[in-house]
Amino acid sequence: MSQQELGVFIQSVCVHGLDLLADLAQVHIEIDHPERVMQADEPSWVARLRKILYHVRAITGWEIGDDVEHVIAPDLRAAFKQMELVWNELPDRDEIYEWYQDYWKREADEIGMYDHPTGYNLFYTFASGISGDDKTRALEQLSMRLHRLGLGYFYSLDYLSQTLNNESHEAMSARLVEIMQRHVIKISDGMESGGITA
Amino acid sequence: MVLDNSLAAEVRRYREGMARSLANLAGMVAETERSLSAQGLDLDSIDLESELTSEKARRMHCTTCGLLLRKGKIHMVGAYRANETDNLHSLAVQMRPVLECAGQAHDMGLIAMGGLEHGGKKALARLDTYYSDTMLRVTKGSVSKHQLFSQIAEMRKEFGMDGVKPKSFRHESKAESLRDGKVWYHLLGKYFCGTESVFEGLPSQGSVALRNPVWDNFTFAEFMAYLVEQAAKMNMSGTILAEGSWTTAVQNAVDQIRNTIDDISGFRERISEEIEGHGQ
Repeated sequence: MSQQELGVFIQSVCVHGLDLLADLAQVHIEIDHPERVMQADEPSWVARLRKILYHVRAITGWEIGDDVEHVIAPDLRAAFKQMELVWNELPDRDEIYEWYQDYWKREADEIGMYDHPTGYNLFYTFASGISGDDKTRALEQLSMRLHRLGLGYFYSLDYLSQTLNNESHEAMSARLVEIMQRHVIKISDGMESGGITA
Repeated sequence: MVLDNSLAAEVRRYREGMARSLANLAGMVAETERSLSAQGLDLDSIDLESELTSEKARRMHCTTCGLLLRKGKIHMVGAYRANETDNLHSLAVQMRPVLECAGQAHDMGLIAMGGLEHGGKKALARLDTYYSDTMLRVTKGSVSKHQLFSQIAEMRKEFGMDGVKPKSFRHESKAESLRDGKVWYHLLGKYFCGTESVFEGLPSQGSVALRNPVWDNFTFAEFMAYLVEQAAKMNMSGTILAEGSWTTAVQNAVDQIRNTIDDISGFRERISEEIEGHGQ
């Protein structure tokens, strides 16, 4: 696979990441519409998840193009910061949960390079800079972050649905799983057509 | 509370006015950035680790400031979009990098205009800390701290300063030279960029509770008003560096700040009159 083909592939993975987040945000609105008045005794992670919704909506409003990693970074970082705390409230504690516990903070710190520019780090693309033409590495990181945020969002929404709409939880849960499955199929199709073996 | 229609309309106009100013300024910043880039170093040939001559330093300042303006403009567009989509949380997080860029550009403008007078000394010290911090990060040990600080001390001597070592910096110091820069930096950091959120209460405190449309519009307008004023300062600083002396372009950039501040005062005055007129 040439560098150019790799670039196109990574861009398409980013687009899938945005699609996944947009689909999940739609479900979030159905579970907990932002205009629903929150009760005083509701746990704070429900409100934190609402904050994530605002940032996800901002992220999914962009198209993958020039400087997209920059404009997405502040919203992505804010979402990761909230996700770190939401994650701690989720009930399951298997390997995935434990691995991700450190991930949100670590990545939020990394994205911080975009959030805290200096006139000098902007010279270096590898230090979240703005100059240079080769954005493959930046887009690769962005694609990973979008998908992992999607995964965290998926788990969190499942628990939100269980917490707020216990009766319809099963149906909502099935819908969330269907979104994730559809998404995984898209990615594996893309990998196969791009000649990459998983 | 029954909201008076004319007050609501006035607040809406304030928000629309600030959104227009933000869009106009993004265009101006892009133009100034092009002018700076034209005078700066070719980005592909830049090697920050090589010896720094004063001519190279001047051209590098143009490049650096150009990059700051470009980065600032990206997030101004992000802030504009956030307003268009009614997303205060996104507007707030997009604002902070703009403030960091504006503060640094303003520091560079201060030095270009007044040398070490009128805050220039502090501004230069701040820029030294950003430079040394970045270089130590990106060179990952290939440039020693001692080597770097000696180089900075040499450059400082050219400005008639002694060879003081750069201090470590906090990100908030980038907004220090802006009006109320630290206050805004903390507000955005605490309620929007960080995790210390207030889930009920004012929208300006990052609330996600049900909102009041008038109060909401007012908050969007106030956030953008502050952003527009600082972006105008960033543009002025870039213009000063690009022009090198007091030209019509610099005067226009200064007038832009005055007009922006006048506009904001006008909107606020009309809103106050509406509130007083209805005894609210």
